[in-house]
Amino acid sequence: MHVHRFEKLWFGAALLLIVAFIATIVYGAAGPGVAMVSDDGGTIDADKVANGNFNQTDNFRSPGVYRENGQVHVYIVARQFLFNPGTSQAIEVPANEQVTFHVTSADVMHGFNLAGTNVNSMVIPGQVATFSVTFDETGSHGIVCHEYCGSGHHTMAGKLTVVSQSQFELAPDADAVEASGGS
Amino acid sequence: MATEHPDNVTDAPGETPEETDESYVEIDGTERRRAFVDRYPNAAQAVRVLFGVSFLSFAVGALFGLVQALHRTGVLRVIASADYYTILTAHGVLLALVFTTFGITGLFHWANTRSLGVAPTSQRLTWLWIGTMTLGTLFAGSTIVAGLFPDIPASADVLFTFYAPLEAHPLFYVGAALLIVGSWIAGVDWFLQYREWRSANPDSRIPLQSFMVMTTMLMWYLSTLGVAVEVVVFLIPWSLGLIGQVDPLLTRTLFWYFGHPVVYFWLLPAYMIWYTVLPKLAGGRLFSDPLARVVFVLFLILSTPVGFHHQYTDPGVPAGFKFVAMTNTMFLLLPSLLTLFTVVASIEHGARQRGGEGYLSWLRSLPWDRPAFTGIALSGIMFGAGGFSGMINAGMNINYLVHNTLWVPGHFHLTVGTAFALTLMAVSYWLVPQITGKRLKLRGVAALQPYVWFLGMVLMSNAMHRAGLAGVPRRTAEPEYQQFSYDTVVGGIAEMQMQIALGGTVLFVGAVMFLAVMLATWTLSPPNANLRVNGELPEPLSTATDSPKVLDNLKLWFAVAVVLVVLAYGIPLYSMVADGILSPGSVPFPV
Amino acid sequence: MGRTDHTATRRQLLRAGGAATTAAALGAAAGPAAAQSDTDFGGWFDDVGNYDGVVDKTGKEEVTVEVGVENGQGPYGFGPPAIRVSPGTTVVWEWNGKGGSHNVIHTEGNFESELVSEAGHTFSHTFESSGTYKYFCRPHKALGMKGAVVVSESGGGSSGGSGSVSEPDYGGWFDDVGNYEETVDERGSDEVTVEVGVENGQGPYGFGPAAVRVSPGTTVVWEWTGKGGSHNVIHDGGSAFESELVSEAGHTFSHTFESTGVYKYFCRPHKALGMKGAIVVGNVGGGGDSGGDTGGGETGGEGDAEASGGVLPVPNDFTGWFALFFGGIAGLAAMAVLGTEAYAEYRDIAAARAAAAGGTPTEAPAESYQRELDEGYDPLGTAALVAGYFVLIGLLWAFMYFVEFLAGPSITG
Repeated sequence: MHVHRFEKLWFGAALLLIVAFIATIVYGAAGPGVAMVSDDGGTIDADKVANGNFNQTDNFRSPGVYRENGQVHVYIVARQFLFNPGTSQAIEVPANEQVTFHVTSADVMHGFNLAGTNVNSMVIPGQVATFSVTFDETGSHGIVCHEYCGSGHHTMAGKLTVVSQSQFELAPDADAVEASGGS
Repeated sequence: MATEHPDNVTDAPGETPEETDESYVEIDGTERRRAFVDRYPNAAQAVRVLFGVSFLSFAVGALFGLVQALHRTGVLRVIASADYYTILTAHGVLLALVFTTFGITGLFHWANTRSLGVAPTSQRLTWLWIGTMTLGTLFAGSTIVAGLFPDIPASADVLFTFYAPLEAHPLFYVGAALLIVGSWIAGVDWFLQYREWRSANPDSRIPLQSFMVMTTMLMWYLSTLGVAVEVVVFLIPWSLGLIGQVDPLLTRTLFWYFGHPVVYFWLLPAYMIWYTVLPKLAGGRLFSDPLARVVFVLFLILSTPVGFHHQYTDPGVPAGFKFVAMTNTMFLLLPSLLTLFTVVASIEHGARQRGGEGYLSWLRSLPWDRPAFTGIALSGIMFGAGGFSGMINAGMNINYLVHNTLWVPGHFHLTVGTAFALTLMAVSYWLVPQITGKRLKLRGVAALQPYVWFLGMVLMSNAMHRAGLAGVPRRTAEPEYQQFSYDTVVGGIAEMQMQIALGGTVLFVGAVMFLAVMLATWTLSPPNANLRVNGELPEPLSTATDSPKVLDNLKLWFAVAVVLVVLAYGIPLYSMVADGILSPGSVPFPV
Repeated sequence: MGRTDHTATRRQLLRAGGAATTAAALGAAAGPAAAQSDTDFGGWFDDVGNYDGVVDKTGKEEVTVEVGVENGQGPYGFGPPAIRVSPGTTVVWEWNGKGGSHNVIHTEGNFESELVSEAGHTFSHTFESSGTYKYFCRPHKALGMKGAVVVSESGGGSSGGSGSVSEPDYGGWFDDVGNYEETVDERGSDEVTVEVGVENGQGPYGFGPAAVRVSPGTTVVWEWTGKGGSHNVIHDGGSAFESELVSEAGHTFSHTFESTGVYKYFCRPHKALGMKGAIVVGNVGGGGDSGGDTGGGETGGEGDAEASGGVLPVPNDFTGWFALFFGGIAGLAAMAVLGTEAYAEYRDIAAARAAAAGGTPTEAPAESYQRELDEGYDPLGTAALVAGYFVLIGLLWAFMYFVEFLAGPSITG
């Protein structure tokens, strides 16, 4: 098969480019440790989420911010057309500490994105999206629902505030819920 | 049956027949060059109908695009924000499914017939698939438009991706299924044509255009299986109330099993034009036929096992399979990069034959005043940019930065919205005269049109990409949220919105110009004219005989493709259905 | 009362098609403001969520209006939207920085600000002649960002309130509620049921009935229909009652109303879709609690009469310039194209005549080339172009990955 020598060169260059791209992505995962949203959040019955029966599930709690085994966990339910928590009151998390988010949907597909950052996940009914983020700086981020979820989709947004470790405190009833042992 | 010109059956693939008396036809006492419409009147009629439906849906879809561009940017609002999604659904379905599918089947019907030199075997079969596809379009289109009228109890504001558990009217899903089934029958039509050609040419290499049509259709059969199962097994019974719930992640996965190959279904017909027609329009010859075949075989093999790259941010899909999809996707860059070289080298060949010199100054020797050439060439340039933003989309973890932001529509307006759409428009300037026997009218408008489209897309797409980087989401009627503002990398949000509004308007002007040329040609141009164009395609510089015969073994490549699909999808799909095929389930949420 | 026609949904705008487009595109070159009372702005405030009557500011030299206050659809309101001032008063609009870029445009072109987003920016206009001056923000007009200045010699007119029970003034609360018709009178019943999740034109996002009048001491029971997902019932502007967020059909929530007044409430998830209601306790009527705003007749607008006559249609906003710019380009392009076409046609005919004489096709189908190049040719230009592309995407990739992507907060587990 006759192939011009320039084409052979280009074939090699193209392969090099492809390998370099894959190598960059592997570096991003291994070096800075960027992880993918995966299947470790498990599945959940969307009906139970819709009706607030969180005590019947073992991988999700009543929406809110908790400290479990010393780590901060945020449980968020997305529904037409709000984030709970997030929309009515901002989610407050500490800086310089790993925060784990658990997000699921009570009805249709939604999206969860901290605007302009790499914190980005689909929210799919029946699935719990679990991912961890460490915020280096205090400040606030907008939460955008980025998947079409109905005619009021464009009104669905929220806010997350990152505060310093010293200012961070759990809501008074969060401990109570934890003590009563929902999970 | 091949009642017309059986002598052409022996044409070697892609070769220019000698100029003989056979090349001319005498009508009404004047002798004129034989066109496609004279050789294959039935096939030409079918292509005319397909192009007609395609361009009609393009007109409506383009108008809706303008409404969106102005609404989203807050420049002019003629609809309520809640209706934005009806318009968006119609825009997506009409342009990404109807305009493309009808345009592509039209191109393929022409290309397969022309390159094999065999008329379609049964006109009845051809009308069957055209009718099925048209019926499907009417079903889906009417349920979408019904969403604008509160008095009609049907609506389908579920966007082009129709993710469950948002539920559309059952007729919407039935329409989508019919459109796909129609395209399957179209493939049968072309394979029958090939079988007839093969019986007369047992030892010849498959003509290049027919080879491209068949590899694309094999990929299409393999990939549409996913959406067919999604719609027929799950969504139609669910929307009719026969089953109570569906698994949203499973149906979404089946959609994206189809959702990425479909972009190659849009792109490969454009590639076919770039490989076979563009060199001729540039005054040159295809640089390498064997590499063109290699490229299409690679697309057949690699197009389907990559769908998870649309689900990088999905919970419920193991990270390992996202990585597999990422590597497959990256290797899909290879055929596109090879195409870049071969196509540019073919153009350069033309430019140098026309007297071009130097490293880059040969570019000036190309026919930049001919719309068929400029349109295709500009669409190729835009695809170079769209290819880059696609690489970012494909880059697994970096996808977090842009997933579901305005970057994504910025990307696919460069690919399907320019690489495919502008190529189809441009090739129409060359092909429509051949299938109608009419000369192109409004040639001045036509010569300007590709530049207008290019300008509009530059304005709109660059702003969309930058807005996406700032985190502005796609698929939303409102540009801003009250809770926060966006940090932009380059430029400001107001400036981007201005560019999107301007670009969308310029694109609409470009669409109107194209439709005006087609309408004028159809209505004003006298039939049976002596055409300025001819459909002969020059022989490649390096012909098919230079390549190993195994390239033409389509059964082998199809089998390899199936194996790769099983490897990429077997385990994740199994784990999704292992806990019950309908669970974790969701009840319908009608829109 | 200048009440909205509630059977008209926003969707009908689309059917109005061309008319709506034209009206919006031309800004508002409407005729002079006809004799208007301040209770009838001709439907101007029908879609303005924060309109709650005309605020009397007569007698002051300078009055400030905030730009970007919440109006129910977001920070797209003027605060207050409608004011009454004396002639000679300077009105200062002050931007609060919310909701992106806003401007202040008089419908008849007497005043117009720039499009600005910074907090603290101000724009002022002194009103000399009596009349009603309607204005809006161009980018957010469709979201109800509209206002009006009423210039008159005297203060509020005579009260229009009467003893009879008329429709209460809900202050625009029901402007985007598709299923609101009027207040249903249930006085005398001990218990009244309101359905949660009835059709309101945008889906099952309504309370049925939306507005009910009850006697003091009545218990109102909200009963969930199970449609439209999860709903709740939240007292607006107070905390008299608030239900849980529930989706099951048959769920109920009740509250007993003891004091007279208007209790507005809404469903938090679907407020934006018009899921709002009100309970009116007692004989609260339209004129009862807001005399100055609802009563009185007043004439105005004579000062604007000259604005509409004999003026060239010069655009006064972005959309106008946008339309003019493209109209101009399209006109020039059309002329150029027609010229080209005429010339091309002329040449075609001339060529056809020549061809008919010679019996050959009008154009040679095959190109004649300056030279023939075969397989041996080296595509040097192509090599240069693809090498450039290779370098370009390599650099862009590095920028995107290492600068744009790795710099921000990322998912790490």
